[in-house]
Amino acid sequence: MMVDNILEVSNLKKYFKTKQGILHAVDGVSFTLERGKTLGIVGESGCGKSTIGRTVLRLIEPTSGEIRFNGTDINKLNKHQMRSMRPQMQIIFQDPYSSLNPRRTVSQTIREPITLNRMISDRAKLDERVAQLMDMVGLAERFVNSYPHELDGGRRQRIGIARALSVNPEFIVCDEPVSALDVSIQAQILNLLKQLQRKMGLSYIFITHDMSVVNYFSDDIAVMYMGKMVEKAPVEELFSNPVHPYTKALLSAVPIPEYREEKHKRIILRGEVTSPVNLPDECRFAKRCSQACDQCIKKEPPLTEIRPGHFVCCCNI
Amino acid sequence: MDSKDIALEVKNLVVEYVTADGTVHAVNDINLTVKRQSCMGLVGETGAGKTSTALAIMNLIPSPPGIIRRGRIVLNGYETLSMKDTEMDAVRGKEVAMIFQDPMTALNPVLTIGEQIAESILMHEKISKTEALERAKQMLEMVGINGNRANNYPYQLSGGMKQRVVIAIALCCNPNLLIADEPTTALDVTIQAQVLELIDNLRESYKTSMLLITHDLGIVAEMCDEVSVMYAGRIVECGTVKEVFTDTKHPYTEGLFNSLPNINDRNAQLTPITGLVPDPTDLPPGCAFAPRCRYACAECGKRVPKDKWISATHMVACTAYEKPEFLIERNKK
Amino acid sequence: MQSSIVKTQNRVIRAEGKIRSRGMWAEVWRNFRKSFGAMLGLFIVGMIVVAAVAGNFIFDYDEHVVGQNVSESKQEPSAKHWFGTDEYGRDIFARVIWGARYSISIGFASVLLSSLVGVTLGALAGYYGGVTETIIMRLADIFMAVPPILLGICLVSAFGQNIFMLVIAVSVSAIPAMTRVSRASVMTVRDMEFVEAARAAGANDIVIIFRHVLINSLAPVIVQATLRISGTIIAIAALSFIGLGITAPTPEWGAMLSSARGYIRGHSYMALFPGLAIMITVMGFNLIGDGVRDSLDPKLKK
Repeated sequence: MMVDNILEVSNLKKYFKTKQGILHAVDGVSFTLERGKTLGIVGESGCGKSTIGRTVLRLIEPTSGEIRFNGTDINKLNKHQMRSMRPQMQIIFQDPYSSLNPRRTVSQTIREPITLNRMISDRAKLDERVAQLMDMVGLAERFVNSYPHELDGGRRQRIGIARALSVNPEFIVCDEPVSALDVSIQAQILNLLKQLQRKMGLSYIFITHDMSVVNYFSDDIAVMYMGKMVEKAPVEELFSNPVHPYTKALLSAVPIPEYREEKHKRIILRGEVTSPVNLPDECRFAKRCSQACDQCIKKEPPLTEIRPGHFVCCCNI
Repeated sequence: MDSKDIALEVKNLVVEYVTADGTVHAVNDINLTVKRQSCMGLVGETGAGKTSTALAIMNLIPSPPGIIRRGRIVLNGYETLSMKDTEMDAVRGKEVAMIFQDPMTALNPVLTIGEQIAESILMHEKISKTEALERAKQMLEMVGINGNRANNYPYQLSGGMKQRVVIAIALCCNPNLLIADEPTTALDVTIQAQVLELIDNLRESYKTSMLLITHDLGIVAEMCDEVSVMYAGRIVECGTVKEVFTDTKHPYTEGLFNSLPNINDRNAQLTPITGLVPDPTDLPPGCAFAPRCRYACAECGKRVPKDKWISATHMVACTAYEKPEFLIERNKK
Repeated sequence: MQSSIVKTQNRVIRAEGKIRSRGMWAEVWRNFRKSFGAMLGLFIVGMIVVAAVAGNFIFDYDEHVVGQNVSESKQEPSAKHWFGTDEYGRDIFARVIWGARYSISIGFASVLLSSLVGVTLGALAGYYGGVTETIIMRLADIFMAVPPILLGICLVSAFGQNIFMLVIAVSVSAIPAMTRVSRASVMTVRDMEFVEAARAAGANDIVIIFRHVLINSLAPVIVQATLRISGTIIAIAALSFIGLGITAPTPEWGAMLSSARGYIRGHSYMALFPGLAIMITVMGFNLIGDGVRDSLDPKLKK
């Protein structure tokens, strides 16, 4: 049976020129996203996960690579063609404060994508659609003329979700959508996103640094380290059987809110992430890896499939 | 309890901020005790009054608009609220030190990290500047930074290293009590693990008591001996970590647990707390959590719940427990 | 930090009970009204504007303002001539009132002109960056290097002496500062996520610049512009004082000061009143400017 992939990304690269040299923000990343599923991308700050989210939407122009969305390589589209693709692919941002224009009311913000794409021109129908969207994301109608600063973080995040949904997208990049929210509100938003996915058959790329959130939310997980995907597997597989030393450390570093008589033994990584500038040909994680060997600093290991669907980029497998 | 075993005692503390838009009731009559050499976690969401509590203990509430209306704070035998500024300066750093959330803004960008550590040593000890700088280097080594980096400026360090420097500054005078206000919120998980381990080890070797403010119940489980859960300026439940985590009593604490995705059980349903945190200028009468509480009854909206002690260490402030048969869902399983 | 949390919390919950949607400008006006200085400034400027308009009806230009009446020259202030008379016997009160219309209208016109040009250039430089930015900003630097009065003198002597040239001369020297302020402000807004959201929604550059970027970067520009009005009034007076702005017999404050300077020993009131007029007007605008700045950015206040 053919798998129905909404997104196929191969060898995606994004380099930035900096004063220190070329920054390999995203360095040859390939993945696919099955329709109606969620791919979680996890990693620490500076690993390139947000850059991936923006380059697959071409909000940042990729340096090279192929981004096939519903079969079309959107990296080859011109500005005009790209604009007509935009309604199908949307984004939800991390910061519910900076992601909304402070001078525009809830209704103005939600209707903007609709009017920009000339989807509904009739005034009354437009109002009706806005009301429907607000209802869908659980925003009371009385907030229709409120300004963002009058609302709390959770409600603001709902506005951002309504804005993304307004053009009936098939695919949404969720860039840390709950990181800025308190736990009780975080759960509300996660449940909403899940419910919308079921109802509308949405496909998500879910970018986060929070392992327990990604575990709850995703079908597949890709772990990023310094611009490279170091491990990718279905979620149960990754959590029960992590292979890459970095994934192991990441999982063990998560504080678990459960009482234990004995403190659990954590893998504490040495050192910190450096920025991926002017990289030599070696495993990027070797400097912090407890299992590093000579092999690791000779050549960068390729991403290999060790079990069906489970890819790892490490010499020691 | 013998007063010698107590590092910090907060009694009936009330902190308010008087603003043009009304009076913000940040901390409403809380009691808090940190035992010597133990770690107390203070948990709550944004605006629960955690930071105001910490600032009150440090006697650093910005005034205006902040006012400490009522209460006593006894820090290792010192009554800090009645102290003059000059006396308080001597207590801060020596008796109590604080680690702030954001290491990026807690350091002075124009002084080297060595100078900044030496500065706080010199404030409390009569030693020469060169000796202080030498001590600063030792402190850096202890928090896992090479002593040669004492001449670095904050911008030359990563976020995790800056937080290590902040910890070095806080611990350089060997305080009795360390207040850490969300010390790892700005850091990545692997760096968080490093910093938490560092704090834990240092606390052990220095025999420091700690008040750890966080919103992360996971960190509480890993780091703390006791925990107090704060909601809308009140402590709604406190007890040892074992009591609060395995025998949760307050509906709000239960709500917090139910809102967290469980890393070991991905199919568990998330049950968020409905509604929002109340306006601190206009708190509901009675129990502040009642409007969001699934167990709330008419009585809850009428009066502020009394503290009910379940054991010598476990307290819950919930009116529903006046009925002896009351149980929250979490405990029914 | 603490107070900002508290602040947002306030608003949040207030929105729960009943919806009082205030736009950002309504909020600014609410803060502005609370400041005594700002309201005093608004009152002063308001009075001057009212006087300037009323002067039109009270005093006949040809008779009272420029008409000479040598028999009454150099009179001290009295019930008939509140501010006294000048060397040609013209009523100084009438002239000061008439002078206000020149100072204020030229002040406004040139600030408006310099803001329009400056904001456009600044927005282009800030939004597009790269070569566009380099060209615009280096040009601005060059203009910044020339002292404004000198620039005014050059322009007026090159293109002739009239009110239009005066407006141009005063505006040109203010454009670089406006460009810088708006560029800096556009650059901070440009990278905000709501701009990215607009792009993801399919907005083009024009929609993004006008609907999302400019409107959110105006605050510092407005502050700069209100504070600039007073500077412009001084610049006009200065140019007129050295004989390059508005010339006699037109009653411009700077020109009046200039012609009074010969009599300053015996008839100091002749210089006093136009001088006071300049001072009070400038103070009024500065107070408004400070008020606007404080109410646009409440964080500055203690």
